[in-house]
Amino acid sequence: MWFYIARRVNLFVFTVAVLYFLVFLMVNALPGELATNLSGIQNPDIAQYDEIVAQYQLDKSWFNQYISFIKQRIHGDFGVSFGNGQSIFNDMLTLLPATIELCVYAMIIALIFGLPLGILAAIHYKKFGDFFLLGTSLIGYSIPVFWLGVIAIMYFGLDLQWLPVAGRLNLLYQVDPVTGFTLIDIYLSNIEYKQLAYKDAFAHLIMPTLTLAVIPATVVIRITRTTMLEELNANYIKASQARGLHPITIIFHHALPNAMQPVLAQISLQLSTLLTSAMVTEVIFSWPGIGQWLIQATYQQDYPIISAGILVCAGFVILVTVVSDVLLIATTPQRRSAVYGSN
Amino acid sequence: MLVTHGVTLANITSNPRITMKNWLNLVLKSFFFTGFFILAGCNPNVENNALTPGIVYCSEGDPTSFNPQLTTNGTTTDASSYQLYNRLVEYDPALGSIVPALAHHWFINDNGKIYTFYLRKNVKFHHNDNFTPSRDFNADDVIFSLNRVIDSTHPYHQVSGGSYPFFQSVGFTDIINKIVKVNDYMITIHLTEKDASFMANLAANFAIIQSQEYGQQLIRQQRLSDIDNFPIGTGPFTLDSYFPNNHIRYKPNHQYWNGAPSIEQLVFDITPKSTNRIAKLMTGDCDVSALPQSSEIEIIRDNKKLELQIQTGLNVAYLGFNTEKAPFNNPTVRQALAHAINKRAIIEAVYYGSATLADSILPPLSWAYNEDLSPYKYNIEKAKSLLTQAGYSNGFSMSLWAAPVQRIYNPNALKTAELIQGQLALIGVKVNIITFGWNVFNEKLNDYAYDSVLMGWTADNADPDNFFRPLFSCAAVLSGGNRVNWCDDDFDEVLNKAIASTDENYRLPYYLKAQQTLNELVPLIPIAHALRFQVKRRNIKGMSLNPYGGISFSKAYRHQAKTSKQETQ
Repeated sequence: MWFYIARRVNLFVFTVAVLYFLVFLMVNALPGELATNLSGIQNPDIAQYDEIVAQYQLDKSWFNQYISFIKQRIHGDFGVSFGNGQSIFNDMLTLLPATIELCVYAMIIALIFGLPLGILAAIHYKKFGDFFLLGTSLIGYSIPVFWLGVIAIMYFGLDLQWLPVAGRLNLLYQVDPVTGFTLIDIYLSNIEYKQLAYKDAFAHLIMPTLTLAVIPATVVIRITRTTMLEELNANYIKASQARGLHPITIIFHHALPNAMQPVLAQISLQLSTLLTSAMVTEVIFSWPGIGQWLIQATYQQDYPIISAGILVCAGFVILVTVVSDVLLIATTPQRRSAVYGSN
Repeated sequence: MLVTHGVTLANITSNPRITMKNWLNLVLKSFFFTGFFILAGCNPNVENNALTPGIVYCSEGDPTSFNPQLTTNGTTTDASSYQLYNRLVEYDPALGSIVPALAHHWFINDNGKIYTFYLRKNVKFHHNDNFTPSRDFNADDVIFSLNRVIDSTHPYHQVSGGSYPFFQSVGFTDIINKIVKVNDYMITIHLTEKDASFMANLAANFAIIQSQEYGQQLIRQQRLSDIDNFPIGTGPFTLDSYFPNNHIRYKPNHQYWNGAPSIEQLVFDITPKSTNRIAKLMTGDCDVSALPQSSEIEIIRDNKKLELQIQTGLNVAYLGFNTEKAPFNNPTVRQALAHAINKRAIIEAVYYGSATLADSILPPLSWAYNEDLSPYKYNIEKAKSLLTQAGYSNGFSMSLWAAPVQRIYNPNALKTAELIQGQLALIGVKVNIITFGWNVFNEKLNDYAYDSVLMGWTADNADPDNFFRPLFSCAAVLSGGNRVNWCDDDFDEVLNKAIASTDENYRLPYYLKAQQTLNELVPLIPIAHALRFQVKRRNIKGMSLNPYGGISFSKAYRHQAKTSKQETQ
């Protein structure tokens, strides 16, 4: 077990090092002054320039530059934005929770819908229900997020006017960002109309989360179905049937827990897809998260933000993958033999 | 393998009916609860703001600061001028005249050079975390604010960029000789010469009054730029918080001298995309929205919850020539181009008909409008012959600068530029369209490197002078308003004579003459006077549309009766 964790941590460190190296190469290849691209300070004066050179060891070899680049970034110094001169790290701290909030809720919804439907499909194997769910999930998987989002806005937002189409909360509710998660912030705030604020926050959440949840939900349906079928076919199920256990007991007490493992493993792999879709969803629904910020930065060629965004998003995906891997091993003894950690 | 699955399933579901039923029951229940959970949040009635009395305004961008003195940028003016501050006098669009504000009474002496203002008493300044006023508004604040603009030795003159474009364009520094405090509630302003537009300029969005006491405190604290970023004014709202690129929050000033606002807060939701603003308006996230695009007008009209307010705008969109550059230093070439541009087509395609065709720089609404001008008819043959006459029978190529942003006077300058490109191609003139972001665009214009430019002007006040001196005077070449780079001493003389009296009958001939000159020499081709639109939800009342730009929420309120009726139904 410990050996496995050590291997995983090792893998994490090296992957991140390679990631940093690629971003470092990218920053070097960008047009313009290197000192400016690294620090984000445009037209630095002499004192500032000297400081940047010292920080990033620009007068030393490329390897020193690379190491000090990692050092700066790991200490949370991502430089300042070209656009507004604000610290990128601080901006990121306020924006990241919005994205995480969106992704987490979407994932929860994907599980709430995906798991039962996947089990349903497995039970109805090769019957109408199965074909129907498989077909629907294939359609759901193929629909581009931006199209779905826009259609949802057109219909539920503009046509029926049921749901708000932009932002996280009506601005009349003065909720100060403490954690950055709207629902928690409403709880922590001392505004007068908390009930209404919750309602409003939920109304704002529905369309983006549902839009974002469609793809992971279809993936969950398909994986659950496959693994459930595998488990249901196993000998221990046959044995429990022979003992006369109730089918519901068999499904929920025996087959499902074992089928869950690969599903959870897949979910962590879905994270990078989810983040990409989240960025598109954020732009469509004007959700003030990291995706919208990054896309804005791309328009404005704000290189420090772009490189910081790549580092943080990719780093986050790598981190979650490694952590979920370790957790999975910790909870699934039979997988520990796979010390080389193939999924 | 698939077959074995089938076998297994057939085995485990040996009693299929009961199992299926229970199982389905469970799934349905879980769906039901999820659905319930979601529906609880998704109440079709989004108008639950009724209980939080406030108004959200979808604005189009970030203000550059909270001091309108420093800019002519409409976004900044909207966010500060009528919300946070007051002026000595105000212009009332309904009455069409100057009405009292911080000065409750004024008096102009016989030679029109000395203005005496009697100031209002018991006017309180705002307070914020850093500043609590110890005294009421008085003459010191007026002198502090006006001197900041005109006196280069004033401690705040250089703060926040030190540029006062509106005041520079109307020559405030030259026209004001001195400002004298008679007592705490009385000041006199001495002018160097008669200026009929002076009162209108004092009523403009930009001539706001700040607190001298706050200024002095900030000097002690060495935080001078706070005066424009953490503003203290006398207006109906105080600034609560500002998150750039996100929102601005205002709280009512309960001590407002002209009756505290009836809403509990005012929020500017910064939404640069026009379609997003309309979407937010329709779904209730916004109550009032800035600058709807002409193409969206139909949708707004069709929506019963929304109300469109229309006002003939005192603005003009024009194609300006750099009259110092060949071939545009030749009036015949400019006339030729005036004949080659089909304004009607531009109004149809760019404004979707929501504008009136412009013959003069002045909108027909103005009392000084010259009805006898002979407009340039769209006539390709005439244009070609004029070009030949000027020696350009083979045409030439020119650059046309257009900004990719929506302005009040032109919703889509790039599209306009493309139309002009097509129209001028017919007479053999090749147009290269050049474009930058709005801020860079304005900066680069100051080098006068362009051949022609698509610009426009929105009046700051009701005086016709506002359409001439800021755009055509020699002084405005330096301050940047004179985009046609046109300096004509005779023309300046006419403009100066026109403001030497307050008598409209005396001034009219000069303005008619000025328009005649402009029509003959064509330093610019006026294209359109855009209508001004503002959209709001129907239950928001007390909002009027100011023809001079600058939105005011001081009297706005949410009409409750209708919503409460809906709720009881």
